[in-house]
This record gives sequence, C-alpha cells and structure tokens, in this order.
Amino acid sequence: MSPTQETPQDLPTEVAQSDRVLKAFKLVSIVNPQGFHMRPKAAFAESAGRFQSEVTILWEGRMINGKSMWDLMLVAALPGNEIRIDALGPDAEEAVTALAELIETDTGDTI
Amino acid sequence: MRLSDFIVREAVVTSLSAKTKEGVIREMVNSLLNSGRIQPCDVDEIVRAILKREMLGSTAISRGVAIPHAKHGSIKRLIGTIGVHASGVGFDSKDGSPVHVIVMIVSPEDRPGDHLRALDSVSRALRNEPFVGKIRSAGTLENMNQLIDSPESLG
Repeated sequence: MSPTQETPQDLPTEVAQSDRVLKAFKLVSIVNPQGFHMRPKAAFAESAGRFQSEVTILWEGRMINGKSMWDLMLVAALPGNEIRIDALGPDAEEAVTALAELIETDTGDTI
Repeated sequence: MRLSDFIVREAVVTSLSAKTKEGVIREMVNSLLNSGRIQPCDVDEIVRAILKREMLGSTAISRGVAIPHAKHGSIKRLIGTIGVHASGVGFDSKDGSPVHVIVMIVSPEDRPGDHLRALDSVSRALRNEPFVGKIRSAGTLENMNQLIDSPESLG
C-alpha cells in the first residue's frame, strides 16, 4: 500500500512519528490519613509543574488540571479513595511515575 | 458544602487593619472569639496552630487569596471566616504578591472530610475572579452576606 494513501492502517504510524507525544496514566490510592489536603495538593501542583506534559487528575468524573491549586482544591479525596493521574506529553511516563509516588508515599502530617 | 454552611457571618472582617501575616491571622481569630464561636482560652493555641501550618508552606494560592487553616480539639463543627485587606498583606506567597482575601478555616481534629469539602467550596467560589473582586469591595457585612448567599458563591 502506498504511504501517501490515507487509510486507517497508516494512522498509527503517523501518530507515532508525531514528535514523541506520549500518554500515561495510573490509578493511585490516597494514604494520607487527612486525605488529599492542602499541603499534598501544593506539593502535587509544584511537582506537576516541573514536567512539560499536561497533567490531569480524574476525580468523580471531572478532569482536574494537576498544575493548578484552584483545580486541585476540588479533589476532596479521603484516605482509601482512588484518583487517576493522567499525563500527556513528551515526559508523560516520568510525570505519572513521580506524581503517583508522591501520593503513594505521603503518609501525612497532622496539620 | 457551600460557603454559607461554615462561614460565621458575625466573624467576617470587611476591613482588616493588621499589617502583618501574623497580625491578620490574630485579628481574624479574635473575630471568631468575638462571635462566640471559640473560647478565649483557645485563641492563642489556634493562632499558633495556624502559624505552624503556614511554616510548612504558605496557604496563599494566587489571585490575592489565602486559606490559612488549622485543626483544634475544642472545635466540634468546622467554622470559617473571611477577611478583606484593602491594601494587601504579605503572606509569603510564591510570587511575592500580597493577599487581599483571606478565608480562614478551623476544623475539628477528626473530620478530614469536612475540611476537604470546605476547600472544595472555597475553590468553587473564589476561582471566579469577578467574585473575588466583589468580596474585596463588599465594604459592609450586609454586602458580604449577600455575596455568601448568592448563586455565584456556588461556582
């Protein structure tokens, strides 16, 4: 089949060649006994901001901008609740790995 | 939860006068005291708890808004108040800009869900910049009450 033809079979190749835009996601459980409160939210936003990728959290059916404190404040996740971290961009996998670790190792403080 | 569920109307300060972060926090805690929602013996401890939390990282977010908060054993039901500072007060915000609208939250020690829902309601209301502007220029408790009860406060 000629590469100039636009067919469904050609599309994945085109996507793969389109400059390393990658997607990654992970489901994580909140372990902090106080839930996903302001300090971990601030740490999350700061860490997410260091990545080029877009970072979103899927929470109660809403897409939350993981780099915005205003958005993260809408995530009222309690211990044991699951959130999904998504990243889209050249460092998507690194972003999701780092941010998931931040949540999964945040055993918390009392303030 | 919405702002009107936990903001103590009588404790709202439409014109904060203190010139420092600590001073403003004390002014707002005193306002909760004057509203009868906390006891005189707890004032210093609540101020200290809020300042201790601020030491971990400023609760100034952006758009001139800060959300100082603490838990305290004497509190049975989450309460909050709003303070407006006309000229702005330094709050150690990341970008160094002063804070004009302060929403203080004091929670029971064992109700993290309430605290998270209060943050959610603050975000819904104050992510809307024109609404923050209206809070800043409210001027009177009556105007502030109308804003707290308005549909806009639901985001």
